[in-house]
Parts: sequence; structure tokens; C-alpha cells
Amino acid sequence: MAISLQKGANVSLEKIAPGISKCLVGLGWDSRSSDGADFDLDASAFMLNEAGKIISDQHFIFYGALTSPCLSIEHTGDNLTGDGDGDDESIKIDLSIVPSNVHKIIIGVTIHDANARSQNFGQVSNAFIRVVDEKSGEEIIRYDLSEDYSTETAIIFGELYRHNNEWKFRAVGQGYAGGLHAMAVNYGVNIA
Amino acid sequence: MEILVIGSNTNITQPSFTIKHTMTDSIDVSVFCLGENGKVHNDNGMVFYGASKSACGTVTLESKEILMNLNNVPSNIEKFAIAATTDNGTFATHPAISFDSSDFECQLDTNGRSESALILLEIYKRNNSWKVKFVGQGFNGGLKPLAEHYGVDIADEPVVESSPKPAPLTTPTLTVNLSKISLTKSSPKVDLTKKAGQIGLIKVNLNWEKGKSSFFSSGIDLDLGAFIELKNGEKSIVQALGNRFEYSPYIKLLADDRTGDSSNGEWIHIDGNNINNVKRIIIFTFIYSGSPNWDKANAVVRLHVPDMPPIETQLNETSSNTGFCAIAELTVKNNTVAVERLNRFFKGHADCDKAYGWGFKWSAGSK
Repeated sequence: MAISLQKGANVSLEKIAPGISKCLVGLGWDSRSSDGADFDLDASAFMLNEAGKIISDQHFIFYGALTSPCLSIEHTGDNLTGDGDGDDESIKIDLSIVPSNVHKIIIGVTIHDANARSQNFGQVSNAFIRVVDEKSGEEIIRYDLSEDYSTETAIIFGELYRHNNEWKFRAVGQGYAGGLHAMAVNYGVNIA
Repeated sequence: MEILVIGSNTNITQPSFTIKHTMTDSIDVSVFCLGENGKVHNDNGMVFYGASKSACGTVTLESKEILMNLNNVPSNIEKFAIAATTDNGTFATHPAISFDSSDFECQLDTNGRSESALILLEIYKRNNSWKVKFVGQGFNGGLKPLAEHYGVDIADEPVVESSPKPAPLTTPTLTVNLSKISLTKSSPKVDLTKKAGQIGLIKVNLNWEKGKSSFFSSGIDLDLGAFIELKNGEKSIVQALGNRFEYSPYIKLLADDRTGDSSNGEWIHIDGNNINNVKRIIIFTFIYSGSPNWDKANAVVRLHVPDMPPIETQLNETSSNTGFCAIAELTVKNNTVAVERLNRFFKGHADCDKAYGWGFKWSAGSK
């Protein structure tokens, strides 16, 4: 039975799935049914230090770099349209091998080419983030963003962070203007 | 008051409100009443030019206004989608569309829009309160894909069958006639494209909703009638009242529909091939019984001329409480026939007679 979180709420992974190490973070949204350019949404992960900055440029996992150097995070690949049921993109995280200097993992979703296509999250329906325990295959956390975003082009869906030697998940729902570029720059990634 | 951009939403604070808009008559507004699955429950869930009020009474379409009353929304309705379609071309050929209401305003820039059907606003339930969202997404293919998106069945264009088959029984309210000529306040007149004398049979149809009989009111009985004046000065009236069903060979009233239940309504046939002897014909309707509430009757008059889209005029732009309405006038001049919308309301036959110079004497009668 998944725990459904509201914006801003957090929960301890250890408490709801004792012994969890490998988890899958699934992100979903509905593809557009009307005419016009497809919504191409991209999930990314940022591995941050205690100061909230990226460990290195290689610790920014996105459609252009699918695996972290430590192999603890793997992006399963880019979905260009949002077609299909269930997760549209997913990120696999093995919490047991995340380097100890990584304090927080931010999971964000951005709209590709949003300005040129005049798109924003307010036009995307049924966006969600969920965490699945890979061992049991069970969904343990779900956060539906449907109303918490609006006209932004980049949203932090959720974050995994260390707290008193355990991992917690927080439903963030924080929007950014400026898409993936602004989000990456904000965490200290050097963007060409 | 919140100014919405595409994708943004805000709370509705007043359950009963009016949305004013700037769309011209060449754009048709429709509202879809949707369940939890984002689809209509049945074809009555589409409010449009053929059915301008929702079954639940929540939505009323008027010229330049959409009236919403969210006080008594059926529990199985979660969302209302306000959409617009254009008969010809894309929205790029139309000016920007503005909405103005007590809680919000917004404007859709039509520049470069390739769609001919747009979902403009959604009014939806969220945590037991109502919100509005500016959507601004649509379909290049127009009303058909839009209606199908919401689960409404749209009749396809009729297919010509090679072998003759009996005409299927149709229920007009369930299908959407995508081609039409509407006579409205701003475009009240149309010239028939054919020469008088070669028109064939012109059929005039009056249809209306009977309305629910209740403790306070019984259904409405509307009668269709016509005044005809020939070029030689002869004049006559056809109507059920007084059993004046025919003025041969020019005009004929078919059977009287006493209830509005018949999907066919009442019909007058005009012989277009003899119309050169005619100077003018005024089509009128009057409430034979029932309260004079034209809004509730949803009366529509359609003229069917062979090989032309139906010419339609609705009796919905009034709060008149008088029982007689002159609907349209056909005039024959220089071998051409023009149809003009009148929609003038009178107390009765005598008043209308005076206004249009018929010259009859009137006394009360019944059928």
C-alpha cells in the first residue's frame, strides 16, 4: 500500500520499506490528446553535497548522460512523447552504494523545447512521481502533482535525502522558469 | 480577479457566474459536461448551438455569454470543458479571444493557431471546490475530433448508398449537423442561391422542447403558421387554428404536433416552383397552450431548400412573455428569393397583423 504524499510532506524509506536498497523512481504524465507539438518531458537527477551543490558535472544524470560515475543511479532512457501507461521515464537508484558525500538526490522533470513550443506544466495532465521497492516490486510512495504546478517549464518532483543515517523522500513540487538549463545551473552544473 | 495564462488555474469563488467572451458568430461555442473519466455520460452532455442549455441546468449558452450555475451540479459531473469551433479555416484567421468573469480573465492569442477546434477553459472540481483552468489546446480537424475526445458520437457525413435503402430513423438531437446557415441578429438575411421558379419544395420546420409537465405548468404547445401575400394582392393565412391547412398551390401546413414530443415538430411546405406569383410569406409561431417562456421551449425553425444547407433561426434571444412570434420573412423580388430573420414578438395575431400590414380581422378561436 503506497503512501500518498502531499506537497512538502516527507517520509522515511526505512520506516515504510525496511531494508530497502534498490529502488526505482518512476515519473509519469499523460501524452497530449489534442493536436500540436508533443510534450517531450525529461527526467533528471542531481546528486548534491551537503551545501546543496552538484558533486561534479558527472553527477548530473539526464538524457545525455544516463549513468552516474558510481553506478548508483541509472536513467532508463528518454521517452519522447509520454505515450504508454504507467511510468514514462524512470530512474533506478541503489541507495546502498550512493557515495557518502552525496547528501541529497534531486529528481526533476523539465519540458524539452518548452519556449519554442509554448508549453508549460499547466498543460500536462496527471503528472506523478512514485517510488517502487525493486525487491518487492511494490509501490511505496506516490505524489500526484496535478495541481501543484502551473506555468513553469521545470519542476522538482521530489528529493531523496539523508537524515540521521537513513534516507527520506520529500514531495517537493517546486517549479522553475527556464527549463533544464536553469535548473542545472542552479545546482552548479557547468552547462556548455 | 486573476489574469490567467495558458496552463494556469484559479479558484472559483462564486458558484453562479457569467463568462463574457468576444467570439464572433462565425465561431460556435460548445460546453461538454464530463464525468470522472473525462467523458460525457451521454450525448446530452454536449451543450452547443443545437441544444443551448445543459440537461442539469448548470450551463446556458447565450450570445457572447456563458452562464454557469454550479449550485446544483449532478454528483457524476466533475468537469465542464468550454470549447470553440470555427466553420471555416483555422483560429489563426480570427481575432484574439478574450474571456472575462468575476474570478478571472484571460486572452488567447490566435496568431499561428492551426486548430479549428479549441478547448479554451475547463471548470473542474478539486477537493470539493471548483476551479477554472485556461487550457488553449485543440484539434486541427475541428468539432468532430473534439467531440470524440470527450466521448460524444458525431454522425458522419451521409454515405451515398448504391442500392436504395429505407431512410434510417434519426434522432436529430443526438447528431451534430456540421453544415448550416444560421440567421442571427448580426446576419439576419440570406439570399437563396437559386432563381425563383426553379427552387423545388421549400420545407419549413418548427421544433421545440415540450418541457417537463409539473405541478405548476403543463408542456408547451407551439403552432406554426404562415401569412402569404400574392403579387395579385390575394392574401391568406395557414395555421392549425381554424383548420386552415392549405392555400393551394402555394403553401401547405402538415399535421399538427400538439406536444413537441415528435422529433419532427411541425412542417410547412412551400412550392418553390410557383413562388414567382408570391410577393411575401411570413412564417410565425404562437404558443397555443403552456406558459409563454420561449427560453424553455428552445424553439428552432429550419428552412430546408433543396441542395442548400439548412437555414436556421433560434428563438432563444428573448425574455419576452408575449405569446406570438414572427420568425422569418420570405420575399420574392426580381426572380430571387430572400429569407430574413424577424424574431419579433407580439401579443397575438392582431398585433402582428398591424405591424406587417396583413389587413385581416381577428377574433378568438380554438382547435
